[in-house]
Amino acid sequence: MNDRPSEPRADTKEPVIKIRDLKKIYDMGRVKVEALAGVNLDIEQNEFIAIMGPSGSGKSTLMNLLGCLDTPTEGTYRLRGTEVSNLDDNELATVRNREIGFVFQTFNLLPRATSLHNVELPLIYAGMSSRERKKKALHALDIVGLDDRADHRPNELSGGQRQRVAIARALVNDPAILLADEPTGNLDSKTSYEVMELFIRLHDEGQTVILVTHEPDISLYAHRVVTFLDGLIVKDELQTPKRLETEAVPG
Amino acid sequence: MAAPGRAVGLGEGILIALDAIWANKLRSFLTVVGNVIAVSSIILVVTIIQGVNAEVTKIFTAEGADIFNIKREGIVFSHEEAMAMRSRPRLTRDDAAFLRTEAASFDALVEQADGSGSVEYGNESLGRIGIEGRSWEWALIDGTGLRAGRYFSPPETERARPVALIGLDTADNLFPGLDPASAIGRRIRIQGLHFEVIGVLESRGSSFGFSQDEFVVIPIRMFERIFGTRRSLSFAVKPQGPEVVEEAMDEARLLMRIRHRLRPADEDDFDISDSSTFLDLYNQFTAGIFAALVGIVAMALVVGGIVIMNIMLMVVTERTREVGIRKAVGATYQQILWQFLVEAVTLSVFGGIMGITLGYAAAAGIASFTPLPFVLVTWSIVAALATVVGVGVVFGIYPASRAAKLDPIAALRHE
Ligand SMILES: Nc1ncnc2c1ncn2[C@@H]1O[C@H](COP(=O)(O)OP(=O)(O)OP(=O)(O)O)[C@@H](O)[C@H]1O
Ligand SMILES: [Mg+2]
Repeated sequence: MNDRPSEPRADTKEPVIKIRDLKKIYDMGRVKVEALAGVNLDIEQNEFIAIMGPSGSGKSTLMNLLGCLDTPTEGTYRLRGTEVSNLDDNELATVRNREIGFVFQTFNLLPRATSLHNVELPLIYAGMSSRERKKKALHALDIVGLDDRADHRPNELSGGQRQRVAIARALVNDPAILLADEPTGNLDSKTSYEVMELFIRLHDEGQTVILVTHEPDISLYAHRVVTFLDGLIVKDELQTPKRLETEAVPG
Repeated sequence: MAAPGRAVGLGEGILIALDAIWANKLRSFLTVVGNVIAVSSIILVVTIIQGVNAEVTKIFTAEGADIFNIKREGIVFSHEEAMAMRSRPRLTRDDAAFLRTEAASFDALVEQADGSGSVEYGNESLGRIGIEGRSWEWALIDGTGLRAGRYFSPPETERARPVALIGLDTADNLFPGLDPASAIGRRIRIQGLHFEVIGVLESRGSSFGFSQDEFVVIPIRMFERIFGTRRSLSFAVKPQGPEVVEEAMDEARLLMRIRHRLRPADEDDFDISDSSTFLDLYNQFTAGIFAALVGIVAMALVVGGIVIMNIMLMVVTERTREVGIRKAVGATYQQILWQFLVEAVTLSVFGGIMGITLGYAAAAGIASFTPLPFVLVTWSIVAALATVVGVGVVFGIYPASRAAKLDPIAALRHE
């Protein structure tokens, strides 16, 4: 999935993500919660970033902004050279559809739909023909090693398999960035390992991956670890990522 | 980057909707009971009225479209009107003679009077069958035609000859097992008097399942001998051509007013009508039924629509998370709106189709137990479907917009 036909629209020197003084303030009437208190962050193409920090430090808030699910109260967010912090709801939906792959802790699959249909969903809203859709969705399922589970519904899959279907859905539109908010939070350690193996492989193939985690062992696989506290980045370090012990293929 | 979201295909939306309907069969059915009742009742009534229409049109147009009638009494709508008409002068043979000589636009005028009585042959005796008195011109306007024999002649009319034409069933009943043609020349008794059968008429068909072929026709002067001259005659007039019907009716009216010495301010004391007069009246009557029906059906549809709206609001709440997922992967406002609108319309149409089926089943049932014919009315299906689509849109738009407006993050957090 690294063969992206549309290359960066603006200056190729510009990072994939460029955030300046980003704030998200929840007005709760009497108190104002500063979930993000002025974040600056540049993320280059093909980085593998782990975002860490205590509960309530603003990790998910940032991910929602990065994923264009929400808009900031203040600040700017340029995604592949385009300012997206001031788009309206429908424009954001289109950006999510074209540029973002989002993996949630709780999978968020349509319970009554098959794996194939779940993976097809972004392409349906992109207006793709059903033949092309099916081809791309099966390819994405193949990448996560679940092409033989295309006709299964979520309740016929294990937790790890569900998350892999969700990853296939996130990949199917060839996104500029792959965002994952605690993707292994609901999985046991063996399954977590399988899912992480998948992220590593995607990164190796050129994908930009941003992943929130609480678990230090998970963050060891990233090249860069960004740590949050009270809505601010308090640490931003590069590291040599841990390599996988085996070259096991998931499935 | 802001390309407007393309609507999900209609087929896609319908599939989602059918899946949801199927997943909640009982609830879906209960939701659309209002639609089922409204649509089935309108289909049923339309089908029945169309069946009756077909029969009524057949009756009123049977004697020929251009023929009109002059009668003492018209159609009455109240007892008072009926009483008022009793004081009108009778129509007599002299009136007929006057019209025949004065009217320029008439081709033929038939004097007629109807009664009923007994008809016998040998041991066969038929009670209370139609006895129709006609002048000889009836031969010129009779649309039925002869199976055998002949009509009566002008002299036979005026001299009150005891000759009769009989209906096909009367022939069968009087002469069982015999060919109708062999009835010619036989002597039958009508009200105890001897008559010679000179003709057998073709079948007049049936209406509402009842045979129209039990009658005898005798010369009008003979009829007056049997039944007296106290009853009014009526006249059937054949104008000189279809294009002069209006003119002939106007002339008839003018001549009748002169004959009755009416002053300009006086109202007509006779009645002139052609088949369209009755049809117009009948159509007014059915239009009234339709209007009342439309009111009732509209109420049922509004109630049904409100139920659909409530269920759809519930569905949206139940599927908030689903909406969150769809929005997260890039569904736009319009795409979500479209999905739930299609679902509401599909639900509504589902009720409509059940209603159409039920309505026709009921109509077919009624048709099989009664003489009413079963007429499949295409426009009523089209109208019913258009209506339920409308109900789906009108009552689905609010729930659908609620779904479309959901905030993706909040929707994803929804339990
Ligand atoms: N919709 C909201 N309304 C009000 N406050 C909110 C809302 N969403 C988040 N917050 C607040 O913003 C802050 C950051 O929340 P966020 O979900 O980003 O934390 P997090 O780092 O993801 O935590 P966790 O590790 O528990 O997932 C918290 O104090 C939270 O209470
Ligand atoms: Mg979080």
